[in-house]
Amino acid sequence: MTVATATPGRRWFRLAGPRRGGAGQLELWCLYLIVALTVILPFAHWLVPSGETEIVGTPFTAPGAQHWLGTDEQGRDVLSRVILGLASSWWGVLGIIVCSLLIGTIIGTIAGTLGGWVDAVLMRLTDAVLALPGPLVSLLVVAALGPGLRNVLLAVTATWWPWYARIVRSEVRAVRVLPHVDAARSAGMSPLRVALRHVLPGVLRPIVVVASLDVGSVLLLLASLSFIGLGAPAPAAEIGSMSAAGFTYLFSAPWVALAPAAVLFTVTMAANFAGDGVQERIG
Amino acid sequence: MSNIVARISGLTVGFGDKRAVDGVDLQIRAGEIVALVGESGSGKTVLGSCLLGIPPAHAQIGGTIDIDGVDMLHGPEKARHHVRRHRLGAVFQDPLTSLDPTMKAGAQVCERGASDERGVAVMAECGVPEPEARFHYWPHQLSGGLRQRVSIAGAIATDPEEAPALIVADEPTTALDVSVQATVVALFARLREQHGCSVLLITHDLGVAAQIADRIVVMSAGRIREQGPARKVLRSPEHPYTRQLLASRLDIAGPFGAAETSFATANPVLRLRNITKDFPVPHHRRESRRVLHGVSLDLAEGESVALVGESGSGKSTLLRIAAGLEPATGGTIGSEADARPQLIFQDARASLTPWMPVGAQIAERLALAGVARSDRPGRVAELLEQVGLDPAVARSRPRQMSGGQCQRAAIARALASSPRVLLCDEPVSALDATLATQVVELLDNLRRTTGVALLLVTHDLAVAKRIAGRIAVMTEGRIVEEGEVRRVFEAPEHAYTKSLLAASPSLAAVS
Repeated sequence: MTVATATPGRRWFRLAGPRRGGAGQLELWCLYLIVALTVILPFAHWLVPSGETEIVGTPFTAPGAQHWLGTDEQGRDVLSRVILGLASSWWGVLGIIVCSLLIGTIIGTIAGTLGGWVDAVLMRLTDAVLALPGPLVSLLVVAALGPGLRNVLLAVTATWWPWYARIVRSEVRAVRVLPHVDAARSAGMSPLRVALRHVLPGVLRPIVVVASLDVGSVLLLLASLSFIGLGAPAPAAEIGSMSAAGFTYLFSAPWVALAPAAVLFTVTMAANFAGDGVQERIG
Repeated sequence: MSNIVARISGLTVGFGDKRAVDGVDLQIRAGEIVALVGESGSGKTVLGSCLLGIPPAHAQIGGTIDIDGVDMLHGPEKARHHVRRHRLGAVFQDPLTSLDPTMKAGAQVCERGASDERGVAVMAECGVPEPEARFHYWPHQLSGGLRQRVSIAGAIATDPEEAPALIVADEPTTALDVSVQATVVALFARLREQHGCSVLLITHDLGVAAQIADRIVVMSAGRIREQGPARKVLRSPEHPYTRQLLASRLDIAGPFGAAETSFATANPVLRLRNITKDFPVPHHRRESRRVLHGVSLDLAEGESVALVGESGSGKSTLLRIAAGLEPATGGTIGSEADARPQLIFQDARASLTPWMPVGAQIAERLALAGVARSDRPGRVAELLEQVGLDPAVARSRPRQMSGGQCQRAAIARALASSPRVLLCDEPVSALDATLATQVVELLDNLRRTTGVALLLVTHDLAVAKRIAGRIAVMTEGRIVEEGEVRRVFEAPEHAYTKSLLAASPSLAAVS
């Protein structure tokens, strides 16, 4: 039996447990960074020093005062292309997560609210999609529809929503048996009103936490698809395809491949920390 | 004095700038049963856990607790452990959570080193029938009363001593039915007689204290307000707080509150006829268990009926059927078109939607009832005033309100539908005595002034006596006795009613 002695001697426990107050500064800054990216990236076209396909100098110019991250094999500015690539992926990530959230929440809420055979049919459908290997299916869909950002969004969303549907459905089932829902039902409110006002707000918290933790994974998945050539076609700037193209010159001009890779790594890490921050704050 | 088992001096427990316990001195003598009485937040539970040497984490603690010469707060851990293992026993409120669900009953009884034979003997002594068989049961296979007996057996099965010097029991009977409560209380008295162990009984109910305590200690806001021999504290309390506690307590020896409201039920506003209800048995597709066996009950306008019974009697199920939350398997529910029965729940806070301000929840009901948008804010304020709340509460969310405020707000919300029937499921059993009395009086006033009929489910006969005109006693899915409140209390006919009345704790027992 452990004994909580008066005050000292439990600090290790508090550090290991959920942080409060001043702790968690890293998560908070990462959250700010992610919010800032979301606000700034739509205006990336006006902010970058040069255009997406604009040739600004000699190929393979090393990073320097003129081109902070050097130029690539065609003489395009790497910094500009990295920022534009991140901007296009960022929209992809947000689009996939928002669409998946919408589909998952609608299906999960219907299944959890109605129960019975509707629940059974929807959840077996969800299970069936979950049973498929997600990235591989995305790959197949993109290969069938042809590369391009819109098709990638479709492909990833198609395999991503079931996770949210499952969580929403189980949360709805848990909230539905709480007394305040009984109170609303016994007052004669319509099932739709009960679901929207007295059940769903209680479900949002966990689902937002899960979604915020997914930002990094989706970003990485998009970059992977682009890396193997299933993103936007050639001249367009994309993090994955730029890394892939720069791979050939890894030893002679490392910045071409490493700059996009480093940005991807940093943003993914920041997104994961930000997700942790969201979880600690509201989860 | 050598016969003092535990000596608490100057105990102070603080959380930040709040003090849960504030300078308490208390001595417990050998073989004495001390009842520590107080309302929620009085610090009584914190004091109990300090006595066991397991004070709450992150608390600032001052003072000493001396048991067998060991300081239970600051002494060496090894010595405190020895005292806990050999000299103390602990019993908690909810035996379902305080027993380990992954350990069999016997293993838990013998956890402190007692042999299997001694474990069985102790279980038998604690009134567990067929102890050899029950020794191998899992906690979930035992009823609430049996679980509490197993937990008490575990508390007294120390080794090698015969029994612990002191048992600390925190609300040991609160989660139990009235008739089981009485036997558990009697068990403590018997253990004291046979083993001479002292008992610190922590309870919110003066009635339970009156049943067995030698000495009563009254606590509020972390301080001891009054202590003395049980009879003296109950008969001639000195501190105003004790007097208030005694005056606010609903007692079955108290007066009838609404005996005049037993109406002829020729024109009932709610009519339940031969209601039956079957629940499916888990994992058996074709089997079902009948929990209501043809129950009939009428409720007239302005009448108040108490449905009394113990857990599992089917009384809450009947109420949910009347509220339309649960379909009945058989029978008919007749109610007038404008009856609009509304439910009041036991856990008021949980019955309010957590993310909506109370005013918005009331306004939502007003909208359903067809009140124009512009009239709603004024009506919300009226309703809140009607239940004795400040209209400013409308902007609060449930978590910002006290338990009593939540129950009042829930009543206001129910009234927004202008119902002619209020269905109340244990509306006061989660509240402290003072608040419980206030809410009971509020319901009674509403009935008198608005003519709303009350159907009130309760396990507490004292509440029924205070508020009901008619009583229906339920057990095992049947109403076994029904009649005017005065008749049922003064001349009960059914054996079950008699046993319920006999088991209800009462201050009148002190005489």
